[in-house]
Amino acid sequence: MPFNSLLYLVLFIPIAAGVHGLVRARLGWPWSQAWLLLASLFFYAYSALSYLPLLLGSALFNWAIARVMMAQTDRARRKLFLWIGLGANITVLFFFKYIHLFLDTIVQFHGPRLSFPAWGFPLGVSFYTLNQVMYLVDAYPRAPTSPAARRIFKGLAGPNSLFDHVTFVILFPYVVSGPLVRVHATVPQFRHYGMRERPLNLACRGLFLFSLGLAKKVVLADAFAPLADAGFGLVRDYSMAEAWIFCLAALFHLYFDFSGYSDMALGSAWMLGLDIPQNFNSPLRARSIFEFWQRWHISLSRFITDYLYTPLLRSMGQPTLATSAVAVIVAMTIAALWHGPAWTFVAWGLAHGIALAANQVWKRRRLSMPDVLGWFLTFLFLTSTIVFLRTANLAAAWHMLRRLVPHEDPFGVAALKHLVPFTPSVLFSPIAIGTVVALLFPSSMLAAASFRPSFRTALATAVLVLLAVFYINSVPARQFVYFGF
Amino acid sequence: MRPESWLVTTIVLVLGAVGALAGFNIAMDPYGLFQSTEGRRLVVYGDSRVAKYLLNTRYVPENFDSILVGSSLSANWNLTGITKLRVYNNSLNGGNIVEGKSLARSALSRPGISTAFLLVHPALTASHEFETVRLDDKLKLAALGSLSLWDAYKDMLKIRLRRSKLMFDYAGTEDLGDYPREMNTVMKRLWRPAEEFDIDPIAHAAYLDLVADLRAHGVRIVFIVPPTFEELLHGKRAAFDRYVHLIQSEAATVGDEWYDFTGDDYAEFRRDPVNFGDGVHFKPEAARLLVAALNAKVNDAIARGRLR
Repeated sequence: MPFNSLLYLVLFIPIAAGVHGLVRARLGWPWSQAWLLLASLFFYAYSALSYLPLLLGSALFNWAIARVMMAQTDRARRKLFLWIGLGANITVLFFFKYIHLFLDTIVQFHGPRLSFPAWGFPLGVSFYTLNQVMYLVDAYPRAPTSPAARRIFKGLAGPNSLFDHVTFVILFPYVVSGPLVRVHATVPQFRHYGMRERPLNLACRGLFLFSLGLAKKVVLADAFAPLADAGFGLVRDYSMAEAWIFCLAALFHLYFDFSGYSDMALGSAWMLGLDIPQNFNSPLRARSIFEFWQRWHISLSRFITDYLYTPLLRSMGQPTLATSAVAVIVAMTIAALWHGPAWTFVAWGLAHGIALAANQVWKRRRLSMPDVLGWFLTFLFLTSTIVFLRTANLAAAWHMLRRLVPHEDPFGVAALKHLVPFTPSVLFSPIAIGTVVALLFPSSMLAAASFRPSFRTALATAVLVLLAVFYINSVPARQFVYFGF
Repeated sequence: MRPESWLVTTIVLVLGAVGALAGFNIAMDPYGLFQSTEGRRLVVYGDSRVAKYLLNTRYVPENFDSILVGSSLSANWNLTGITKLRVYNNSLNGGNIVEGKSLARSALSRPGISTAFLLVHPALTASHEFETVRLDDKLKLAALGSLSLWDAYKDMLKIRLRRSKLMFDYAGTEDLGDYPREMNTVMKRLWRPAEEFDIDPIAHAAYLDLVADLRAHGVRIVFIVPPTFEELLHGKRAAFDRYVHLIQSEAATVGDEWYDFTGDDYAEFRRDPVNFGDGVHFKPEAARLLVAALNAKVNDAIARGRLR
């Protein structure tokens, strides 16, 4: 059940949040958590009933292996169970995501042609697997460091109850496409409100943020999508201007789609009185690639830093500029491959890894450049590397990249004129509005942070919801991009 | 403002606005979905596919007894020229049989339609995709407030202010203009030299499905093989005949009417380039002549008791 469906908007979230609030106030825990679990099971089963056993099996396995691991007093045995757990999670991802890429690559290197059944792509598998990888790694240390972790991982008997763990894994605001969450920040909130704010006030703020995210998705992202789809559907000999416009459309589409989704996820969580990590903070205004990754898919960036980059760097001995550059390139490449099973994703990760490494060198040498130039170069880099995320193979990506540099008739619009009306009305289209919003407006998180219950914010929320409903009722809902990752 | 008041205010504003918008659209009712359409003359505004689909829900079965399922080839046939039947032209510019089937099913959802004219032409079975939007029941909800309805109002306003021309009449006839044009890319691909016409298997199945649906509703079927400019037809005559034979053998029965304009009787019409804008589409005068010929055939069939 996507967030941008009328069913979610009109029935599911009002009932889920309303009943949760009532149960929590009247009956308290564990009934409120039981309701969350029930609602989340329904939410997932409604979209992907056939993959529910995999999700529950994954939750059960990780819960069990964490219990066994934490019961070990011997460090080596604990490590062994950690690796068994990590290996099993990676194996699940491999068989559902990467097996066909692997088999195709064997054929490309003149190996035997092996076949494997197409099992489809389980909804949310990339996200709930990473959440549980973090859970296992966090559960590994003998003595939890933070007070919150100590509260949960008390004793050797087990890190969490099965009830807590399954609720943590399947919670509907983030099960499908994140943000990535850590167990010690989430599970305590099932029992006690994690925010100091009054739950109803938080729910209002959540509805406001949700309406912003919904409008970003259905009005703005879905307006850029046809242009990006047309441009990358069949890569042709575009002029330079057309190639850049298609890349910009793809970048804005991805940004509004995923940031809109993340706003809706966080808004939904707030409506339940839960706090989950923020995922976006005006990333397209970043002045360096380093800053971009602090603002784009923030929960994944934290995962890359804490669970890939840092362990890799530590494994290479004394950190130096060279080892940290290698670590960041490797970490970004792995993270990119997590996005999708294709060599184009690897190329995208490599490009970002190299750019981050260059950024490290730049900072270490205390070099500087004007903010505007920094923003421009970063934006240019982001726009051009989006090619790797939208093309089917490296040959198509290379073809599109070559179109980005001046060649014959650089400002031709032969392909574009069939897609965009060249009239003044285009200035009032969602495409033009979206460009201004992405580059000049404050982030939706900032808007939500300054939210106060007033008639003005009520009117703004109502207008946004109405606009979104109008669009939802107009065109078939487009799936969120990250559902495919 | 207290959060409780804020929540109530927001919900009231949303519900109020949705109600007002839906109420306005129900009152305007440009597709004739919410009020009786008898005696009303509704025309296509905005996206012609959406509009024709929605008009078929109520307006067509309440005001017509026959429909024509076709493509741009038959879009400008003014079927009010068929005097003993009230025929609505469901042809869609660039349309295929899958889209045509959706329109016909919408028309059959209410009683009223007793005869269906069905074009027999490879253009209908060359593809199966919906050109703009998927034509299904969800569109009825769009009539309460949507971008396509917004486009329809804009269209309506432009026509009322004489800044735009009305492209359709109340019987679904489209004004395709009267200028000689180059054949479009779809038709060029269709008529390129080849042993056979491409038949999309999904579209082919949809054609047979539609025929079965019409029979299940007790609708009489009139198959029409439209004329094509002789020089063009000649280059692919054998393939065309095989295509027509295939459809005839699979879809038609003895009780159906079969009007073939590619036979010798209409050779003169086909040889005259003045009749065709681009070799396949008809100029208005040719379309009028064709409808007159159809009318004669229909009158004859009614006289013989084969149509009613």
